Amino acid sequence: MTKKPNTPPLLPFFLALALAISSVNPLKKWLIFYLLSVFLSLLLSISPSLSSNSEGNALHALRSRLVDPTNALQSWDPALVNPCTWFHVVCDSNSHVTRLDLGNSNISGTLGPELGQLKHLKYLELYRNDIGGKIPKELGNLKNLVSMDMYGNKFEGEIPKSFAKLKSLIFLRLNNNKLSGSIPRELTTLKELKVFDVSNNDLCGTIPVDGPFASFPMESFVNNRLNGPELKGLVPYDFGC
Amino acid sequence: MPAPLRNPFLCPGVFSFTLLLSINSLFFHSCYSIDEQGQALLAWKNSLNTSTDALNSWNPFDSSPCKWFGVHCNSNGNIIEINLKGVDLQGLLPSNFQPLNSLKSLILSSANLTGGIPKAFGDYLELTLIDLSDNSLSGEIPEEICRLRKLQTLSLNANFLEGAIPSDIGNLSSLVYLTLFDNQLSGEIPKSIGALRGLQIFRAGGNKNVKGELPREIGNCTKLVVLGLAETSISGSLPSSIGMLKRIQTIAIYATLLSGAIPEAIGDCSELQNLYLYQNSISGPIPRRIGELKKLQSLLLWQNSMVGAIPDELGSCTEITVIDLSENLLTGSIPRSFGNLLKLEELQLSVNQLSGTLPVEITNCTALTHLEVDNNGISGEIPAGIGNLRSLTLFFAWQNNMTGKIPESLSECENLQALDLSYNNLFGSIPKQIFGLQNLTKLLILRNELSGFIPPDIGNCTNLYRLRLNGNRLGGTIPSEIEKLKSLNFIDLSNNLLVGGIPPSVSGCENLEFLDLHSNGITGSVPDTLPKSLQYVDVSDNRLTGPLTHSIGSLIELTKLNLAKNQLSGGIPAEILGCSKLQLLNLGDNGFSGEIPKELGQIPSLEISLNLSCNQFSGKIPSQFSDLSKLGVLDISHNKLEGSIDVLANLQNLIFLNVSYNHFSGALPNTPFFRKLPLSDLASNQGLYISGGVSAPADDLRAWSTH
Repeated sequence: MTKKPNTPPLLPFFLALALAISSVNPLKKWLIFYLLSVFLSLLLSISPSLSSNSEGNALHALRSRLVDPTNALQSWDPALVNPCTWFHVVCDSNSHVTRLDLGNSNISGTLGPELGQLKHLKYLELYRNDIGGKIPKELGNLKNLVSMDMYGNKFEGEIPKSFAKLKSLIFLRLNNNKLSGSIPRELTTLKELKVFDVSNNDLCGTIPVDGPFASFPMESFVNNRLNGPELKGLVPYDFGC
Repeated sequence: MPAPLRNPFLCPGVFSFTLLLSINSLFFHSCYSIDEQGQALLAWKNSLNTSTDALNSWNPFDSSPCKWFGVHCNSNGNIIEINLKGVDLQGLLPSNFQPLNSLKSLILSSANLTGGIPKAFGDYLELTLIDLSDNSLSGEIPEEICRLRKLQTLSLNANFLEGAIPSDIGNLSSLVYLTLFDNQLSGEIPKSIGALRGLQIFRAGGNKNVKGELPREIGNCTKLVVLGLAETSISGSLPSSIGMLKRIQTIAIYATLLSGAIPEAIGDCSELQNLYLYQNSISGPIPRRIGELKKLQSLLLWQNSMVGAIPDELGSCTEITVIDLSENLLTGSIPRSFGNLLKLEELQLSVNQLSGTLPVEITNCTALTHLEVDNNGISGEIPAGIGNLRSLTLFFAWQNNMTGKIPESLSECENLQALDLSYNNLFGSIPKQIFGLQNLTKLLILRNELSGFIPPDIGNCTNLYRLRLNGNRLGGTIPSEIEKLKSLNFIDLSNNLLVGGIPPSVSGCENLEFLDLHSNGITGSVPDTLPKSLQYVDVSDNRLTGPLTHSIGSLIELTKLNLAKNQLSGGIPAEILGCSKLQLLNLGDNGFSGEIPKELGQIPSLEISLNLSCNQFSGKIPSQFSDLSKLGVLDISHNKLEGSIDVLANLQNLIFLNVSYNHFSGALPNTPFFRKLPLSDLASNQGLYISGGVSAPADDLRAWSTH
């Protein structure tokens, strides 16, 4: 059964305090504000976070899209209060999913938009399987993601532009798939990106040279239909790709 | 002189022409002897793309179509019914059936029809039954269809129809059955629906874009038996005119935008059996007058925003079998009057703000199979009479303030499969009789104040699959009888006061995949006999001694092994290479010694974390460690390791590294990762220095005192 977070009734409390504050001098105003925020964060940390089952629901939806002949996902019981005791899932101390380790698991099928709901996910390891279809653009919502390893699958379609939102991303390996289209220019804004591999795909257009892309070796781009590095000063965008 | 007037028919040319013509018309009639109705059918048949044989009997040489497949006539030879249900017609609906002026029944469901409903349908004025369900019809429902005053059944469900329900639907004054569900209709429900005085079934659910309020006029459909509007965008509140529906048996308006309070007038719906209003935004209290619904069987109000107490009056609905009020904001206690509900099978009150105690009277509900009161503020004890509930299969009371002991009588609930009493204040010991329950697969009593021992009787609970008793004050040893639990898959006894060793008989648990015993007082060594099915083993924070058994390598499914914070000694056996799926290894805070085996570097899946810190490891880091390319976290601090750390220079995936408090020497690898490492992760390595370009003296790494 899905769970809803237990939000404490704060509105009347706020209103009363707002009234009190408005009549008080500036110094005391800031003190009250400070105490209020401390109290608030205390209150919110005490009330049990029941929202972790929305993450279980997201993973359960993922499971229904995947084909799992070796039963790697057998422990994924949606009746449990959260997915933290499921195998191949790691949670943090607040029962939020931080890792999904399904590399080399003989899995096929496709991914879906639900994966984007795992807001605390740091590691998405789906490498060396047989997963096909498009990479969901919703993966761009994983703002805490540190590592995305989807190499060695059958992913097709484009690299989503939304990946530019993955501000914490350090490792992005999409090599050995059937991805097409160009490398989104927006990825040059990913300041933390250290390893980027899109070799062995069907990408076209030019290779970005800005930001972290200045340091990626050519091996990261081989076996595509890429035209070579973006020529600075000439056309700054891809066309005819 | 005038020409004589001749008889034109006696003229030879004209005569032979007329003769030819009459002979021709004779032929004409014998070639197409079928009547107008048959012709219309044939013209329609010819328009279809069908390859089916079913219409082979539709022969233009027949004198009448009445023997054709799917065609039925009255005694006058007029077609009254066409039934081609399930025939693969692959075409459009007929717009030429006007000659079939006696047609009453047109059944073309599941016939692979496409296109729209022709306006011409408004011409088939004798129709009483139209069934076009389960096709691929598109476009809008034509207003013209509302001309059919004799129509009793209109089934358009399971198509792709769009647009609004025609506003003149009220003109279909004979209508009894109106099924429009599972289409792509939009717009509001017309007020004229109230004019359908004979309407018994109205189902328009599964149309996501049908919106607006349920019109008050629905109260005028006093013969209504089934009202279905689930999975639409219906909003506003249920009108109080619903009380006028004296014959209604099922109201199914779930997963919509329905809001406001349920009107008290619902108490007037004396025939009501099923009230499905779940997954809406309903507010206000559960109406007291619901108690007047003597025939109510199923009350599903879950996932709304309902407030107030559960009315005592609900205890008067003695036919009720399912009550689901979960996920609301209900307060107050569970009514004692529920004890009168002798047919109650499922009581789901989870995720509310209920308080008070679990009433003793609930133990009278001997038909109960599911009792779920978890996630509330219920206090008091589990009633001793719970053993009366012989049909109980599931009892969830977790996350409450319950106290007292677990009653022994629970062991009389012989059908019990799942018991979750976690996150309460239960104390005392677990009654040993509970383990006699042969159907029990899930026993979860984590985070309470249970004390006493785990009884040897645990071995009797042979269907036990998932056992979690973590976070209590259980003492004593883990009984060796555990070997009898062949179905046991998951066991968590962490955070207790258990002593003694891990029984070697644990090998009997042939299906055990998850073993968590951390934070106890467990002694002895890691058994040789751990089941090979294990994927997760955590015995950290205990008092294990002795070596790490060689047989660890036989755990080929192992992905995570945590033995940190024990007193293990000796070396890491080379056999660890057998754990080819190992992703996380934590052996920190032990007394391990000797060299780190090269085999650790040869485990390809070691990617999450490797922790060997706070041991007595000596020698160099094996060169094979450079193969741990997926490793994210490496902690080998607080050991006696020496040599260079060059071997770690190219570990691409490392984001955390601690080599402090060792005897490492040589230059720090000159990579961005190492240059950015906090000094605390390198500290106290006498020979380690940061090579040229950095003005910090080598002394920096000696500044910290050694362990």
